[in-house]
Amino acid sequence: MSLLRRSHRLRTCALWFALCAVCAQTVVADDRDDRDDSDGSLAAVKARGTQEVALYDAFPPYSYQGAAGPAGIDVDLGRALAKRLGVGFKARLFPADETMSVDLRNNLWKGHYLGGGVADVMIHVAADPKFAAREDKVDFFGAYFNEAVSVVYRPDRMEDFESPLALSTRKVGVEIDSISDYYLSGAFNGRLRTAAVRHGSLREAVEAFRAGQLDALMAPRGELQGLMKAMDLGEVRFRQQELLGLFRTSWDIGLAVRRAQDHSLRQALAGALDELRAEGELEKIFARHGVVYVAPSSARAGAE
Amino acid sequence: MMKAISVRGTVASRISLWCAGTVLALGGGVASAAGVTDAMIKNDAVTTDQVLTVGLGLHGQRHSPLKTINAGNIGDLVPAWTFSFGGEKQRGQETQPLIYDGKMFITGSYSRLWALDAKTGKMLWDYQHRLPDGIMPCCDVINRGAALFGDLVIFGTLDARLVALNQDTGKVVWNEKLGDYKAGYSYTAAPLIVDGLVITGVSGGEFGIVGKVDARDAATGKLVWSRPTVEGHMGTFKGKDNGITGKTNASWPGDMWKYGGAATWLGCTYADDVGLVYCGTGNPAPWNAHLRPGDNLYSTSTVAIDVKTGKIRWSYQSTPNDHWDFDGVNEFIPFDMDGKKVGAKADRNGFFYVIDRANGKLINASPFVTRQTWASGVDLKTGRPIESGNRPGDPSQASGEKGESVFSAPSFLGGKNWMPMAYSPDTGYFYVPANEWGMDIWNEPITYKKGAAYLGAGFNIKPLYEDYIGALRAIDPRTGKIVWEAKNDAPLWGGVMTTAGDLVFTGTPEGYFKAFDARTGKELWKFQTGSGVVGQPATWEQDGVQYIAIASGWGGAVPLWGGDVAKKVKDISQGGMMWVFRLHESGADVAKN
Repeated sequence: MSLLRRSHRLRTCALWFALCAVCAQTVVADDRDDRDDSDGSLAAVKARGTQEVALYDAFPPYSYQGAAGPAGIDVDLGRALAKRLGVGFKARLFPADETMSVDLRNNLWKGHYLGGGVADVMIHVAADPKFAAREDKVDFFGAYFNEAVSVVYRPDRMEDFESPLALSTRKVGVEIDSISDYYLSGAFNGRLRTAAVRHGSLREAVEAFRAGQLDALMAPRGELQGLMKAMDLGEVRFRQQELLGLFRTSWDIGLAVRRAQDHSLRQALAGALDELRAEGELEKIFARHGVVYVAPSSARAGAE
Repeated sequence: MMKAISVRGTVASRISLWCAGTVLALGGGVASAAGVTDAMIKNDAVTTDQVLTVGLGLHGQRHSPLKTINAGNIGDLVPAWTFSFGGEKQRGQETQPLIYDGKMFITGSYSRLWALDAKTGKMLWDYQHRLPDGIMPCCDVINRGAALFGDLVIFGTLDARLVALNQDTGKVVWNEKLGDYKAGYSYTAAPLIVDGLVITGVSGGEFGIVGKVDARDAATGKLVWSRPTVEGHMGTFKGKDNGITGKTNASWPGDMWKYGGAATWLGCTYADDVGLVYCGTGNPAPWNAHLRPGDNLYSTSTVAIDVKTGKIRWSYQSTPNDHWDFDGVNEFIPFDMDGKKVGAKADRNGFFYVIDRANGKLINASPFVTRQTWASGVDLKTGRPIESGNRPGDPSQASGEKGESVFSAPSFLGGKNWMPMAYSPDTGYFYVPANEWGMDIWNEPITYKKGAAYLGAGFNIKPLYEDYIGALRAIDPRTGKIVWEAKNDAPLWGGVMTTAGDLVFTGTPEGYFKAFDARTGKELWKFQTGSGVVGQPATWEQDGVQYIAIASGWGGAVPLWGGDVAKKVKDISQGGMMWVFRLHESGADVAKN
């Protein structure tokens, strides 16, 4: 409604002053939909008819802006969850801020100071009780995947290795300021520091690898698998092992909602996720994007 | 996410208003101004009927020779007019107004700019920059002012564009890209104009950006030279290679220099007698200093660049291998001390430096805050800090859930942050808006970033004293001694100005615009502006009347990052207003005007 009104006013403006060519260019872009209708309940989402899902942008194969709109594993998961809840799906792709705590604040419970309100649920958050204990505005649940730092290398360039120190004389591509960057920069008192070849994104690192500029890549396994499929890499070997010398190299991921009195949304999402898992749909989504599904460590521990 | 197009009726109304304003300006057939020249800009510090530069002159001394308003009559200082920045969005207003040809030019939050009638406050035109989705300003949506050249008013935007508008019409004349906003670049500082070049730094706190200083033809926006501020990067002059900054891998390991930070986000000053542009640089990246052994040049430094060649003549690094986020961006203010050509800088790290402005040699360094945990002093022979072993531990060596926490003062928001100090050639003192706070800082192994595990840092900013954080301090640069101080409950975040009337002006988050006796520090006058003051004062004379202007509108980094301190300021109302003051005159006199 207001959209129509706006375009009408713009047209009026243009008719009034044909010479006012810069008018439309200077429309200020400061307004956002500061939605505050949601009490965080399933009923509120159903009443609106659409579930807004916060997802990292430029984060293949999980979530990114594809040629035909938002795409990726987490986008498919969000869509499947919304379908089970019987509501529409709206992706809110946002650029990662300095830490996940900031992302949760800006997209799930407080909103960014630039405006824009918050989403109903965020996908690909840490499923980590110690992290969760520090985030008192958010409920974490629904661990659905396990990610681990891994290495891909060219068998024609280097042999299989036991210790990561074998990488010290190699060129190893990493995404800048990632856990892999930290691993190479900090582990073993920095002995791998000069092996790191830092790239602005993992995609750029994979491109350099494909072009033969690197011996190996270090990155989270799922991210690597997805990009390798998308970019059709030739023969490479995958090495996944417990990487020593750093505090932590594998982690579970899951869902989060804003903490609320009413737990109906969280319960409905957890139920829908269980159905997707039980029916094999979850695994299929990962497979579709070239990623081998790995159950979260919490689930594996429970099963053993 | 920022929506590219508004869907609210209120904005539509504003569009119509804007169109009307533009047409009035065009229809009025306003004659083009004679134009701002290089000579006028170089004379700005001693000219009283206009304000052509942010900083009241290229030195940035922020001193006016005007003395119509002085200690004897300041009790009669009253509002002349005000102007509301309007709109739904307010936030921090850190601008300084410029005055030329009867017009006032002011920038505002969200990359807006207005031209007003300087005498009456009537709006002549406004420009509201279209901001795209996905901009990532580090610390609020502020802007610190514009620059004037010829018939242009030039300012930078949050999506890292440099925009030149016609002073009479507000029409865009040129619009150049300073950096890729999608990669985290932004722009908030006031540009500097020297010899027909518009000189800018670049903002962006995100990892992966590299600081630089660019010089463009002010008339066309075309790039003339560019000088990266991290070693190993190639500079350019008129499109050709112009030598590498520093020496590759001299102070950075591996390829880390490629993404080394050192953002020049607070802009530059200039000294004509040596032909040097002085620009401060931010902290190096990544934040964890253990990962980047070495000095990490030219982060946390002042670099002096030859304006003609675009090459670095000298640099001085205040915090080598920074581990406390002590940006070295602060303004370097050239002044003469006992016949010597020097410059002064009050750094985030709590030291006040006096440096030879021709060769960069350190002359004096003294604390301007009461507590510094990171260093006990500065070695005047080597120019290096004497560290006290107060660095946070290495998180990549952490085996527990939380690394060792250290208490560090100043906090990363600094003994002084962005807000510019002022100098008075009459008293010979600098007036430094200082803050007394420290921080707990620790490694945080359980952190996540972009969906993945990460090794981060935790911090919490704490006031050092119960009764105040802010302190406006008069410092004698010859001795480094604090001559007087005026304490303030909340942290100071606004610029300072001195006048030949022996007055010092600054604002407070509590909303007051204040005047102090430059020699004694006695508070002589204050006025409640309705919102926190984080702007920069300016003064000029028009038709025999001295005016003083300040923007009011609370925001900036304190409410976003302040930790415990943020609680102190959480009840401050937002705003967006230009206040202009003059001496009171009787009703009969006003009617004549």
